[in-house]
Amino acid sequence: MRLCIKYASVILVTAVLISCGRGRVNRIARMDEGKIIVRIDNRWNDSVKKEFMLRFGLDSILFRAADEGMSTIETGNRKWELKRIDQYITEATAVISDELGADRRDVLMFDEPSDTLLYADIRTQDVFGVNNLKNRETVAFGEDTALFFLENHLEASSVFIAGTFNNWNSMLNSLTKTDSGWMVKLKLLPGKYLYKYIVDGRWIIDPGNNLRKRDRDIGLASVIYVPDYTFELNEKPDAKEVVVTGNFIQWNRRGIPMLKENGRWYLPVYLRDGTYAYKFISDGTWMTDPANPDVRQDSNGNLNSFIGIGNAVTFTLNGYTGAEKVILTGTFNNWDRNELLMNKTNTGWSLRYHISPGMYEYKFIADGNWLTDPDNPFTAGSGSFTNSVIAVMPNHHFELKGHESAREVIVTGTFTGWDPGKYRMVKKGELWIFNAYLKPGKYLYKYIVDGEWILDPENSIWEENEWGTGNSVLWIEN
Amino acid sequence: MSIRRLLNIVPAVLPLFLPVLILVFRGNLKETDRQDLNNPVTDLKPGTGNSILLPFKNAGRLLITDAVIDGVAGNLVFDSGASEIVLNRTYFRNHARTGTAGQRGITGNVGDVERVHLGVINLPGLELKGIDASLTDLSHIENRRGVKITGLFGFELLKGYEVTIDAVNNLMELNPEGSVSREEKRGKPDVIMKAEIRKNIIFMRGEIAGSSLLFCLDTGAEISVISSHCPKQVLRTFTVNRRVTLKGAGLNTTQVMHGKLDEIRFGSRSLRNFEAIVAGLDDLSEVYGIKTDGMLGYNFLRETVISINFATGQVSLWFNKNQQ
Repeated sequence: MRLCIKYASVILVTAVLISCGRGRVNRIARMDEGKIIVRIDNRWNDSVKKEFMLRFGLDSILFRAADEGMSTIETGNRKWELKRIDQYITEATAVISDELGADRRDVLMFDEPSDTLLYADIRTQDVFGVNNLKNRETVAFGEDTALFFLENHLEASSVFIAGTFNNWNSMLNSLTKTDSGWMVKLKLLPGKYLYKYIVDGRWIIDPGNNLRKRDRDIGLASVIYVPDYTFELNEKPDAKEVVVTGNFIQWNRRGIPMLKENGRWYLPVYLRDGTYAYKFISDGTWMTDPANPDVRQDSNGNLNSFIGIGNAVTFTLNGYTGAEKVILTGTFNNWDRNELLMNKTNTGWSLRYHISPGMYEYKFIADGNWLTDPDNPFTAGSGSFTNSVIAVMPNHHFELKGHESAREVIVTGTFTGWDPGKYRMVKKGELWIFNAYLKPGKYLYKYIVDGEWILDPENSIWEENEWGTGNSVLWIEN
Repeated sequence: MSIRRLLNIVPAVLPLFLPVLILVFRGNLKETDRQDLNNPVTDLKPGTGNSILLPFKNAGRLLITDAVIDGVAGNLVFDSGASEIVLNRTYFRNHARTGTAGQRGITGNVGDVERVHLGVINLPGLELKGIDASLTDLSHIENRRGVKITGLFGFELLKGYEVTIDAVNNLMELNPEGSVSREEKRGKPDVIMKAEIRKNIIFMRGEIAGSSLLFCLDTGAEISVISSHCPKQVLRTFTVNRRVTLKGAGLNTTQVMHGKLDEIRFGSRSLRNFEAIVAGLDDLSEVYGIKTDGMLGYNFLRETVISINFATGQVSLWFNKNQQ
């Protein structure tokens, strides 16, 4: 019901604004000699007023002033003059200071910051992906490589490939001409990539690839998944269809059709780093993977095959051998207090767990007692809110020389929302160090040495900030 | 203090820093050659009469192109409202300064513009040498668009060419003067008009509600602008949609009205429901030294293909099919 009212209000607002906009005389807002003139109708209900205020950044005081027949009102640093037109309409007029000014003349940016995929880390955004190529030669995969082939275009003098793997750089990766087209071998880690070819300066999508995605900034682009796992079934050679399904596609019953070659079923896929449950469906019959011994029972009593993708992290807690149970919890599982039960060993507790690259905070819960990892010196936060910190697949090493007598050094920046408690660096010889995993993109950062914020003295790339103290700049490339 | 403004109000400085254009074409290099950013393309052939197609990308509504400037890889914004190349100070702090120029702006402030001399600028298919540039802080563009921006460039670098901008297909065609465009498919222009070129900036006439208005072509403007001081009959054709806040360099913000113009005409053709903001352009007019009634920004480029011949001062327009 509330939803209906909401929609009805939106329709009403739109109708009012459209109807008001039709005739020039009745326009709801207009410009005239440096002034904005808005027409307020006392028949509007609250929803219409709210929409009106949102669109024009107005205050409800203006409506009250119009209702009360006031001649002027000041709101939001703006003085409005009010003039009653008829029994319903009041015109409110204000001078607007809209001078773009010479000081504005660098570029004129209009919309909100782009949520573009242009430089975002889309490689690891999708959990699962399968290619849809017109033929195998379009993109062939090797050990961490992909061989791209663009058929024809033999009259071209140059062909480049650009995509999310090279920040859409149109000058970096050229193709070599063959007798039937152009080719290039690129080193690519498993993941999802958008790309396009540039043939003599013209952007084109890959005609041999059926998978496409419209990107806000780059337009229509081809999509390729560099696979990191191949599902295989060496049974059921006579089956008409075998599909694979699992938690990575929410156990969709239609599954993903597997390919058949010499009586063997297979399907190369991209799976983001993590742990997955799956099953095959052969002509409608569900089955676990006969070649995979890792079979576990779910809460409904069903047996599923399991695979782990990517590097596994082994979390270890030494001691606490007298504890009945120890749980691992952290940002990787939203601090779930039950999910990750650790295994007891002779010297303590251990758990091997697949996590995608990233920065994670974690703790152990030993018989209900929360504790940081005593063998991990990297921490964030303070007091009882101190957590252990781990960088999985770190790709940047922060190092600060000197400051030997400092008690505490923090590295913080846009990657922590400028949290002054993250991340605590560790002293190693003459250096303060911290290993981080940062997604591709631009980061601003600073060190905090015993409370004093400083630029990275080893980094000559920095930019101005609003306090005149500057921020160090770091770009993480794909 | 705006860099562009500073640069514009001291025109005496500009001739000293005219770029030396080495017009070169791409040859058949080996892949390894192309991938070495520190070893830019050099075996290019000037004066063959061929056109160069410069591929563009978008960052929001800005047109950007890859560039390697003295070994610093990043993106340059194509900003036709810029009189000359302006670099992001963040990446060129260590370049030797060739001087600073004290500038008095129209607000009476005095500022310094740092200048540097560049060795080589590599754009896709183009190598430029011996360019002088100014430095400023462009981090606000980077931070809002998430793209590494090493600078801005306008028509100054491209004056030796007939320049055709096709924003829909993300490319710019550069034809050396005297050559014939190979873009024959485009056919006869819908409109040909005379442009006024001042300080490498293109000014062209359009018409709204019977009033002849002067617009500057500004590819660095993500939306077109109509001066709030235009005649009444012009502003009466503007339907206000909402109020928007524009953020510029530093913490400057300006609140303007966003909406649509009923119709804007160029020669015999017109664009209907033309998106624009209304804002004061008096300061800008003073900087340009010519009364400017509006700026034609990205949304104009999406509706047309535009070609500028610097030798003849002629602008050709091809309107997209859905336009009248």
